[in-house]
Amino acid sequence: MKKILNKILNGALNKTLIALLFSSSLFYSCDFLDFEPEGSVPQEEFFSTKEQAAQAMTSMYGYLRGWNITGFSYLFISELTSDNIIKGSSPGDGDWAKSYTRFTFAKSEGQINDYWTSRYTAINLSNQVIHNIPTMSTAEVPQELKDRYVAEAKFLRAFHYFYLTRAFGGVVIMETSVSDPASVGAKYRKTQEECYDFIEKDLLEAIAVLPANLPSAELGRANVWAAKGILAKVYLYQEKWAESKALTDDIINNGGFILYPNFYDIFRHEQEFCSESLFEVLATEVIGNSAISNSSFCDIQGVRGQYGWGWMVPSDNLATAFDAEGDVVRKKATIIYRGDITPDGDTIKGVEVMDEVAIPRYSAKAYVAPKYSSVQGYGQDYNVRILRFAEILLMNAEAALYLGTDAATPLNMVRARVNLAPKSNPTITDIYTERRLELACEQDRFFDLVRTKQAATLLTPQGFKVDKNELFPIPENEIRKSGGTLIQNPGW
Amino acid sequence: MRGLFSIFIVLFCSMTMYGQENITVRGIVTERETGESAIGVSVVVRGSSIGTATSIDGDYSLSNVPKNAVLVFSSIGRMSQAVEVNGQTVLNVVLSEDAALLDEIVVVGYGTQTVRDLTAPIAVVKASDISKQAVANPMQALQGKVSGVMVSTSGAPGSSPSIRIRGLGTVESNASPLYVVDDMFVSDISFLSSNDIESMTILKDASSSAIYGVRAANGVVLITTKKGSRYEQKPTIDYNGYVGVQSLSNNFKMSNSEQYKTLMGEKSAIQNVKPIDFTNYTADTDWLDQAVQSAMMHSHGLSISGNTGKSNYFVGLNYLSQEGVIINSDYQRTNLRAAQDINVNKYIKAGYNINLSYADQNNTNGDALGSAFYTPPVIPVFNADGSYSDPSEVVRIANSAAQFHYNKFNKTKGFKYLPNIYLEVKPLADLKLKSSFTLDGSNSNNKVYVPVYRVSDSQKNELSTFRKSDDSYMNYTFDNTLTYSKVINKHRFSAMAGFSMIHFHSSWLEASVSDISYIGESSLYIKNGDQSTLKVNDDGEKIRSLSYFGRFFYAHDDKYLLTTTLRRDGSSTFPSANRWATAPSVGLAWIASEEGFMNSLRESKTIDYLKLRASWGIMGNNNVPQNAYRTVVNSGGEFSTVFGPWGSANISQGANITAIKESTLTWETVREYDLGFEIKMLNSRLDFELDYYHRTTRDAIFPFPVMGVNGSTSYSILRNNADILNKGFEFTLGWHDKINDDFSYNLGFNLAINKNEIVKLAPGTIPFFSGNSVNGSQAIYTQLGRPVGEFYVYDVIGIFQNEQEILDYKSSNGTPIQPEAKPGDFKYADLNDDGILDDLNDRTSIGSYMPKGVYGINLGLNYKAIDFSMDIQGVWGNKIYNFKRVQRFGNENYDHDFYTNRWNGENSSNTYPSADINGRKNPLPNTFWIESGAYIRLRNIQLGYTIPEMSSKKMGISKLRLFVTAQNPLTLFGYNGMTPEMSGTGVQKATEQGIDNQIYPSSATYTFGVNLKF
Repeated sequence: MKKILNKILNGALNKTLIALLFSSSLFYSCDFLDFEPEGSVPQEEFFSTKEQAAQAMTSMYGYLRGWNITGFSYLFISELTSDNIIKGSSPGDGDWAKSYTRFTFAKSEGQINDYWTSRYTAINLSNQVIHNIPTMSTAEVPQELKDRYVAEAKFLRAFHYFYLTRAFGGVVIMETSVSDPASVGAKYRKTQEECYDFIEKDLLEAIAVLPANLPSAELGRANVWAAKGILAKVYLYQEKWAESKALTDDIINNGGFILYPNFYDIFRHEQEFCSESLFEVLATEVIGNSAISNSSFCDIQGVRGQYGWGWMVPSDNLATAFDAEGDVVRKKATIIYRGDITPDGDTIKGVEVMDEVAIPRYSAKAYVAPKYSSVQGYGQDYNVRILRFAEILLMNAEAALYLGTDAATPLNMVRARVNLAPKSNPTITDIYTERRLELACEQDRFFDLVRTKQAATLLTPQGFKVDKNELFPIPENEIRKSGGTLIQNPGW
Repeated sequence: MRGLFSIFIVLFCSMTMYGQENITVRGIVTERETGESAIGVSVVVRGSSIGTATSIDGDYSLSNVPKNAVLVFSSIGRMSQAVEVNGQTVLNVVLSEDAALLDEIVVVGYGTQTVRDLTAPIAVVKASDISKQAVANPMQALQGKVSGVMVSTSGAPGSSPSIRIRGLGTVESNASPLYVVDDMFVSDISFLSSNDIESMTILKDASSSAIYGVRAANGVVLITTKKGSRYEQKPTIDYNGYVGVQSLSNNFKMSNSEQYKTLMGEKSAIQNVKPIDFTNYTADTDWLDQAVQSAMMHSHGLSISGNTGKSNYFVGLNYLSQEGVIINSDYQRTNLRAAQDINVNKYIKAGYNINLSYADQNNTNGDALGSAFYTPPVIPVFNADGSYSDPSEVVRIANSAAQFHYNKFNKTKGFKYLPNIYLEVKPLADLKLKSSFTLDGSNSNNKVYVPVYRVSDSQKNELSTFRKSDDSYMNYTFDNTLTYSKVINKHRFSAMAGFSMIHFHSSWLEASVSDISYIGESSLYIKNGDQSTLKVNDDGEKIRSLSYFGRFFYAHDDKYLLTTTLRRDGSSTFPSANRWATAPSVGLAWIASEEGFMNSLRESKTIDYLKLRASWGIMGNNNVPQNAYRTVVNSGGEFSTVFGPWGSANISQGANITAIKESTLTWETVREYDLGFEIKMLNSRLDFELDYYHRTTRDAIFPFPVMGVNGSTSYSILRNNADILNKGFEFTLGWHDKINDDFSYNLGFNLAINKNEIVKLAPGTIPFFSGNSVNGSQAIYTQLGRPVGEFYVYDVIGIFQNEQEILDYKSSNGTPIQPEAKPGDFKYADLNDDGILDDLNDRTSIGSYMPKGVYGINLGLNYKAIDFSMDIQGVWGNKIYNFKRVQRFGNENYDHDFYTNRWNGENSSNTYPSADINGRKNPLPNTFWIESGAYIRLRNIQLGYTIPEMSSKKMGISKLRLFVTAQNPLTLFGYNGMTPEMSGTGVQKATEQGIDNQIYPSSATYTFGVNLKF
């Protein structure tokens, strides 16, 4: 010790000590600050194992049940704007939402933005699969599996573009994923025709690969019938009657689908993926897992106070339409009123006073009886029905009518199921009415009215303006961000 | 870097070459007023650490004193004296009483300086000021004490206040200052006991904080914990304690049952719907009252300290217990501290400082507090059969009392350790090498249990649930500094160089399970639940930084002072290409009062001291969001699903790349200059200090918009693309006087005015909305030329009194502006006169939660054995969004002020709307919902009585003082809420502050306490 101190006193060690301390720090600086991010997988490491390929595929389906794709903005854009439903709920709750029924919403309104951005988020999930999975090693992911993942991604990408183009007209087509440097740069809208071409191409490529039948454990994923059904609807929107007819004939003849006998039961959990289901958005209650149990579809529409918020309720206009057709079965399975006892033996209570209607009522199609579990929240197990065989039959009938072939048979199959008399010589109006009553509260009405050009007559009393409200405005925010490359829709 | 250090090394080595002759000096120190010997006066060679203290007889002896040294004699409460040795071996000194304290030692970054030598605005808050406040968190004690420091407190037990020093220089990053406890960087000091703190030093400008480069951009608070006496002292036992009771500082009244029914009737009439039939609703429940309680608070601190001559020591034990004024909340904290400095020999000193803290907290349910505002008074708490009532047929709100009851199990327990050891080697009297290693670790767990219950179909829990999360972190800091100081004639130098390594690693693990058997907290283990419902999640974070720094101080003739610092930092937070940043600073000061031409003023005691300061510096901020520049895989649960028919249970994990980041992100840098002066006048009774500062954050991280079509889950990327300016004045005025031996008093006033503005945005950057939304509309907007996080809202120009006014309200082109409105609705200004009210063209900027000014007033009186003090504090020019008032989903209750002032018929009000608050455009963010947040508060009153020495000595006590304190007894504000301070839990982003949503109210505390010394 003494010796060391003496040395220190000599001052000789000064330099040594200082040098030691500082050189050690310099030594550290080389790698002290370089390390992989804690707790996360860097982007470059993804898409290397077969598990990751499966995770990317799964992400496309998981995202579908979220707040925007099949939740709030979905309900607003697709049907609140129609004559089928109104906002509902208590007076004073969400008064602003009436702007959708009345077509007074601003182009900066949040639901429009949510609808737009969430579909593009979903499209990115598909693009990641389409671009990255084919480059993975075949030893890790067999070619056949790669092809199937890509086909599913194309199906879903087309599905989202279809929902975008029918709401906004021609949209920006993103073929690159978010992490692709090519995705940077000015964005321009394509025409609606170009969008439909893109959608058709994706669907045709998916149809070539997708399996016809899915094992039980894979239900919820896309099969060839889902892709054909959506494509038939895409043709219908373009009035390509022959193509639509051919595809729906194929589904009717070869798909093995049967209308489920009891209309009310179609929308109960037991009938998920039943004999008339072509495509559903999976939602599952996993007790203890709120991230998976995150569907809002039923919560938004559930009986107010009792089960949910009581929004998006059937209008008197819809009720009258059922009555005019003498359609008792579907009316009961579409509208439940306060005081009703449901077929599940449950008394509907809810609020005493509802906004805009005399008797409070709710969508029966989004009703989940209390006998089902709701530990994680209301209706978490409810799959959102996207495409049913009944709609295939009605598309077939409509195309047939335009082509001058047998429209009555498919139409009357749908009518017979709900105890309605057959129509021997159906008119286009008959088919439109049937579509409305069959598909009410299934988020199709507004687009259908625009497609069939009924909107001008039926929606004008609500506030619909011809040559403006056929399309929603491109979200104002998106136009601002584009720096002027995105052109707003006419009238907005 | 090597070059820089070579320069330092050469500097040190060359300086050591000056030889000198040392002598031993002795003498006696006496008190001027009494003529008695002064005990415990510190005698230090200026500019060195050679020192001693006077003995019981007032004498001292100090060896190894350079012949030309200056000895500084100082003692608390006495004017320090500096005496030139000039070769004398006997120096007798007479000290007079004073509080000018210019030779008081202040802790600065990696060292100390005397107040006289400072070239920067640095504020010090002493232990006595901190312990006076009956608050759990030491930072709360700073409120109103230091100009330029804004403290916004939350009433929740165990919560940390939000602190802003000199405004707000960041948008996306954490805006809280850096805390340095002894040597350790920490982000929060709620674990410390006020009783353990010796002083807090607030480094406000760039020149003083730049030495802490990496994290200094939001200001630095240095906390020095208590240690044993520096000079020989026999063991002293201290006890400080108080016990008190707390209640809501301000009551808040909601409407009662009658009023509610009236409002609902008015609302139904406007909505044109059938009114709810309230005939069977006879209750009149005050739901807020159900949530409030009067609460106990007590604190006890016991310490033993002393100095054996070879080493000093401090051992302390503290306990604090605070109940919350909202039910089901409380906080208990136990602190253990041990610190020792050991003089191994003439050359080596070593020591440790160990801080252990354990906290146990019950957290109240924020949702239940929210419901308490909303649940209608017509709903009884209980049904006739004793079960909780169901409000759902009136309003879709949970029964708040039931919510409190069933969600009361939410406990957090945390253990924190902060041990430090150091070694100091002094090879020469002037050279000091210090190596310090600090560990900072914490382990805390949170348990939330919800039992099975059923209030109604919508308010229920069908399976019991239990969630447990474990958070832990382990950080270390390794600091090495080399300090050299030297006096050569009129030149006084000191230099410091060092390097520091910081490693931060945190992780958390959360598990939850349903259907758990509960027989008390003892059975709350994940294994006791249904394993099929198990969910586990975890994550971690790691940040490292490496810094080299140096400071050089030079004083010429004790008149001209220069401090300059340089620091180079590398942080793992940034991509390797942008990782390193350099932060220089310089501070200059001129003590004008030392000049000859001031002699007459000084001698006449007109101006005793005058210092002019100017400083400039650059600081960096690496406190940015983790992985802000790295794209990582998103494996959030929302991407997973369960394939298969209903009843399937196999979860398929989903993950994907969902966002873009930019790898060009780099440091936010703050450049600041400060101009100031300090003056002491009239025999040092009057103090005045004024500073002007101008700080610009360059390259502030600001979101750059990304188009939705890119498909990113976040609609912006972070870029360094904004410049933010904060400028303002700080002003401190003090007066203290001693009339006679029995009576002395002091008065203090401090004030700070700040202006915040975004002065530059890179091209393509667009402003953005943020904060809580009502119906999708957000009120906070951050844009060029305006403050960060400002409220940007529709301008209410009146209330529509009748249908005709609505019809008449048109733009100049004849477009009706609010055709859908009804009488009683807000009438909004159509600012661009286009007939359409829209978010971008018709909103107006009306200020943010950051006040324009903050002030404090302090008063102290001493009369014989009685002491009295009072603190007042307040803010003005800030705004609060009354979110709880406007966010409604139907038939929620209204506050009483609204009931009293509402519009209910033509000409009843032109400012308040009708009861149909949520109708049409009424709930849009507007100038009515944004209220003034100004307040003035009586922060603290304390009255103390010290038992005369004669009586206490008999009991074997050297000092006994009794006191009563009132903390926050009175707060005056116009805002319609429980408190004007919107300090939520957790870190609040600058762009999300000032929103009243589930804010825990503040409390008034009345305590009785004792200070005891043996």
